[in-house]
Amino acid sequence: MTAIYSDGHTEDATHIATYEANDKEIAEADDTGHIKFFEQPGDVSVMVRYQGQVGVYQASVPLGAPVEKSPEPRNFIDELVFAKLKRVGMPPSTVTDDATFIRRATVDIAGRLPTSSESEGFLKSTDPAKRDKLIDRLLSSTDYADYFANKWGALLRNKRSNAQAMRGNFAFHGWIRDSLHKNMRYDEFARSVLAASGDMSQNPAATWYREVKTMQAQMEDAAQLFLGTRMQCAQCHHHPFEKWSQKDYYSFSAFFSTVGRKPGRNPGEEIIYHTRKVAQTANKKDGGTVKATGLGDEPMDLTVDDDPRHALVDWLSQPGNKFFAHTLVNRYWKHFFSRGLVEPEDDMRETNPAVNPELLEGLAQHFIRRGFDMKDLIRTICQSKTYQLSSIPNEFNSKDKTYFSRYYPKRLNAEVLYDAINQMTDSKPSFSGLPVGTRAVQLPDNSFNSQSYFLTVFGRPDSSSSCECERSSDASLAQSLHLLNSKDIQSKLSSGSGRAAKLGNVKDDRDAGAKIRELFLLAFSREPSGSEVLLARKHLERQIENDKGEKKPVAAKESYEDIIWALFNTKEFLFNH
Amino acid sequence: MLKIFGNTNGRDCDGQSRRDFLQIGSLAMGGMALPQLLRAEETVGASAQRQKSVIMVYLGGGPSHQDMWDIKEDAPLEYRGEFNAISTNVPGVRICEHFPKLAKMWDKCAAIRSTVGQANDHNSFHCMTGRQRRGPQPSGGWPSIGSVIGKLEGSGPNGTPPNIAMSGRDTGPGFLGTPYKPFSPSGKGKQDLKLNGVTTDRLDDRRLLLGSFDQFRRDVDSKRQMEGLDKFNEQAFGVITSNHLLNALDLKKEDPKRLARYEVPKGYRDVKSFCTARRIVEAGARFVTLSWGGWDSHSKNFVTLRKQLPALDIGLSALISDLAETGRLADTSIVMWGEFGRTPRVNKNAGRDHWSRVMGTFLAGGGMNTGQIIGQTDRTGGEASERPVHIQEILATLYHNVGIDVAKAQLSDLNGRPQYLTDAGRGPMKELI
Repeated sequence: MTAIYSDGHTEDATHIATYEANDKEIAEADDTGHIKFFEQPGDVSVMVRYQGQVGVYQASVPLGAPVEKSPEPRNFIDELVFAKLKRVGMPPSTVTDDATFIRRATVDIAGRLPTSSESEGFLKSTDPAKRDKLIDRLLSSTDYADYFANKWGALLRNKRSNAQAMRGNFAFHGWIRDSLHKNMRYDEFARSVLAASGDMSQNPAATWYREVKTMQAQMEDAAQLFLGTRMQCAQCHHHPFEKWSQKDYYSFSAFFSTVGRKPGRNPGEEIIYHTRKVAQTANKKDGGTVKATGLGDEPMDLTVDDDPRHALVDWLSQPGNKFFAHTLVNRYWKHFFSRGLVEPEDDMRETNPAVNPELLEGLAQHFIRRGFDMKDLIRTICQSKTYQLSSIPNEFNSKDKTYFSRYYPKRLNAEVLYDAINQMTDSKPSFSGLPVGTRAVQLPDNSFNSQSYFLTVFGRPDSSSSCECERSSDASLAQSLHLLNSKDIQSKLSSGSGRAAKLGNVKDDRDAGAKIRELFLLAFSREPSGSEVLLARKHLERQIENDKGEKKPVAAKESYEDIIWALFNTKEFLFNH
Repeated sequence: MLKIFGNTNGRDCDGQSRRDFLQIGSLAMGGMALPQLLRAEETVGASAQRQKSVIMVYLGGGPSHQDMWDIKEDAPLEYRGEFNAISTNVPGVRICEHFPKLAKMWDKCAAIRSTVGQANDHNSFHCMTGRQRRGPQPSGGWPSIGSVIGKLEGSGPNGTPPNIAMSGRDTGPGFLGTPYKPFSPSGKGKQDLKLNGVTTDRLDDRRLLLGSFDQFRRDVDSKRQMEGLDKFNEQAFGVITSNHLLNALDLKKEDPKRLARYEVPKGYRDVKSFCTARRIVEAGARFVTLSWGGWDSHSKNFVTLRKQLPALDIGLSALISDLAETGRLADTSIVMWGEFGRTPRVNKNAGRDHWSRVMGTFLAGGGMNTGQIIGQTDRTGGEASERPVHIQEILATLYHNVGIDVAKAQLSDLNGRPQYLTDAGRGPMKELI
C-alpha cells in the first residue's frame, strides 16, 4: 500500500491502512494487511482504506476439484456460471428433478405451493418443454402479480400510517399489482413512481410520496431502490467506502427539489406536483448551490418548466447507465438464488464488487436489450440450468455459497408459509375488511400484520424501509412455539371443514395410500416413498390405551391432523429447496 | 475459532475474552448467524459462566424523582413536598420515609439523582435505547437493550427466550428485526407455551412422526438456518413439555413463605409481578422488563405516592432479599426508572407535572458498587448540578454487567452501517463497576 501525496512524495502506508474482508468465512485481514484464508472456497474482496482513499483487492479461493461435466448451458447465464465453476474447480450439482422444480418455481414466481393436481400433472407430463411452459404459465397468472406486488409494496413503502391512508394503500397496491401483471416496462414503472404527479386517488403511484416525505428521503430511497446505492452516509460526511461526497449527495437530491404537495380531494390525501422552478438545492457542506446532477455525471441544465424527476428517470434509463438495470437484475437474482451477485443487493459500490461481474453485466445488458422486460428477465433466470440445479451437494460443493454451483435453499417467508399452511389444512384465512379467502401474499399493506400473530412473529415487514433486509429470515423460539403448538394452528388442523376432517371422513372411501399420496403431493409436490407411506399407515392404524387399559383405534381425523402437522413442520416443507 | 463464554473473570480456558468474541461477532456483517451462536454455546457448555441477567422495573407515567431519592429537606414547602427523609444503613444516605425496607438494605442499593437524556414523551423508548424516539434513527430504528442482549447473547439455558417483556408491549428490536422482539409471556405468546388441544402423549407421538418424516438433508443449507430451526424446535418442545417457563410464570409454584413477602396492604398496587420477574430470571431469561405503572401524578401527587411508594418498597426489597438469599444478586442487575422526573414545584392540584430535565434511577445487584447515591440536583431538584449521568451510561453499565463491552460491540443497521450500542464517551459508570 503506497500513499502518493500531492507534493509527489510517496510513503509506505501498509501498516497504517485498514483492511476489511467482505466475507469473513472465506478470509480475514489483519492490521498489517496480511490476509488469512480459511477452508471456505469462494470469492472475497478485501477493502483497503487509508484516509479518504479506498481500494479493493479481490481474490478467488478455488476449490480445485476436477470439473468434468456441467449441464448443457441453456443460455448466457449458464455459460458464465459454468465457466466460473470450471475456473475455480467446483463441479455443479446435477439438474434437479421435476418435483423439486415445480415446487421451487411456483414458490419463487407465484408465491404459493403448487396444488396437488398441478404437481401430479407436471410429474406425469412427458412434454420436453414442460418446464418452460410452467414458467410461462406462472408468469401470466395473477399469482405472479400478487407475489411481486407484495415484494414491491414493502419496498415502495406502501405503509398504513393512519386510517385515512387506507384508500391510497389499496389504490397503490392495486396499481403495482396491475403494472406487474401487464408487464409494464421497468423504466416506465420507475418513472410512474419517481415522477408521479397529481392526486393520489387519480394517480395511485403518487402515494409513494406520502411515506417518503422530504427531498432527502426521496433521494435516498430512490438511490437505494433504483440505483442500489446507499447515499445516507454522504449527507454528513464523505462515505468512507464510497466515492460519493456531500456535493454528490445534495446535487442528486436536487432532482426532488421541486416536488410540491397540496391537499387532495380527500382528507389525508395529497396532490403532488412540480413547482415551477429550477432544480437546485443548497450543499450544506459549503453553503453553495448545486444543480440536479446524476451520480458521477455533469450538472443538468434544466429550465423552470422541466420536471427534474423526468430528467432523473431519463438519466437512469439510458442504456449506458451503470446502476439502474444492474440493480434490478441483482435484486431479482437474489430473489431467485437467495444471494445477490452483489450482496447486500442494494449496496452496489466499487468496494463491494459482484461475485461474478461478467454475469451481472450480462444480465443487465440482456435486460436493457429486451426493453426492461421484467417477465422476460424472470423467464431467462428460471429457464437457466443454473436455477434448475439441485440443492443437494455433490462431494465437492457443499460449502459453496457464492458460485451458484447448486440451489441454495431458503425459508418460505411469512406470507407464503401462512398461505401454504392454509392450503395444507384446507382452511380459509380471514383478514378483517378483506374478502374471506384473501391470501396473505395478497394483503395490500402492512396494517394487516397486527391482526395476525403468525405474520408478525414470522416477520412480515412493516414497509418502513426501502431495504429488503427489513424482512429478517432469522428463526426464533416464538416462531417454533407457534408453529408446533399454537391454538391457531391446531384449530386449522382440527376444523370440521378442514383437510383432516375430509380425509378422515368415511365418505371419502379412497384407500389410505391415496390420501397419503395426496398429502405428499401437496406438501412437497412429490410422490411419497414406500417407507413414508408405511410410516403414515402405521400412524393411522395405531391403537392407544385408554384409561381402562383397553387398546382402541384412534379416530382417523385425529391421525390425519398429526400427519399434516408433521409434514408442514419438516424442513422439506419450510424451505424452498 | 469461536468462543462464547468466558469464565467468571471474563476469560475462558483459551484465554480469549468475551471481548474477543464480540469483536468476532461484530466483524461479521450483522453479527454471527444464529446457528453458529447456538453451536458455540453448546461447545462451551452453559456451566462455564453463571448466567447474567437484568431486570428492568419500568415505572410508567414518570415517577417523581424528588419524592423518592432526592428529598429536598431544606427547600420551601411548595418544592419540598410532603415527605421527610430518613437515614439508611449507609451513613450519609437519606431517602424517602416511605422506603423503610429499602433504607435497611441500602448497602445493596444505589440511586442516581442526576439522570439526564430523557424526553418529555410518555414512551419507554429513551430508557430502552438510550436514544430519542423523535431524534435521528439509523435505518430500521434503534434497538432496545433487551433485543441487543438477545442478539449478542442468544437464548438462555433450557431455551428460555433471552428477552422477555412482561407487559407484552415494549420498545422493539429496531434494526435487529422481528426475531429479536421481546418474548411476551402474555396473550398469544403465553398461549403457545401450554398445550393447545393436544395431550402430552399426542405431542410426543407427533414429535416422533415429525422425526421420521423430517429426513431432508441438512447439509443442503450452508447458511445453517435448518440447524437453527431444529435447535429452536427442540427448545420449543422443551419449553412446552417441561413447562419450566410456564411454571416460572405461575406463582402458585412459589414457596409460600417467599411469596408472602410480596403481600401489600389492601388497596395498594400488587407487587407479585416482582416475584414473577425473579422467577423468569431463574428460568434463564437474560433481560426482563417489568412494568409497574401509576406514576403520572398531575394531581394529588402525595396521596398517590403514599400508596405507591410503600408498595414499591415491599416489592423491590423482597426482590432484592430473594436474589441475595438465592445467591443470584451479584449476577442479576436491577434498574428502575420511568420516562422522566416531575416538576420541582408542586402545582395547584397538589400534583407534579412532567419534567424531563432530570430524573432519578434506582440500581441494585449485578456486582455493582452499591450503598451509595450518585449525583446531585440543584436546590429545587430541577437540574442535575453534580455528575449528570446520561441514560446511555446506565445502559452501558448494564451491558457491562452482562459481559458486553460497549466500546467494542457493534451491530449493523439496515444500511449495513455498524452502530455502537452507546455514543462515544458514554461507557459504564466508574462509580458502579
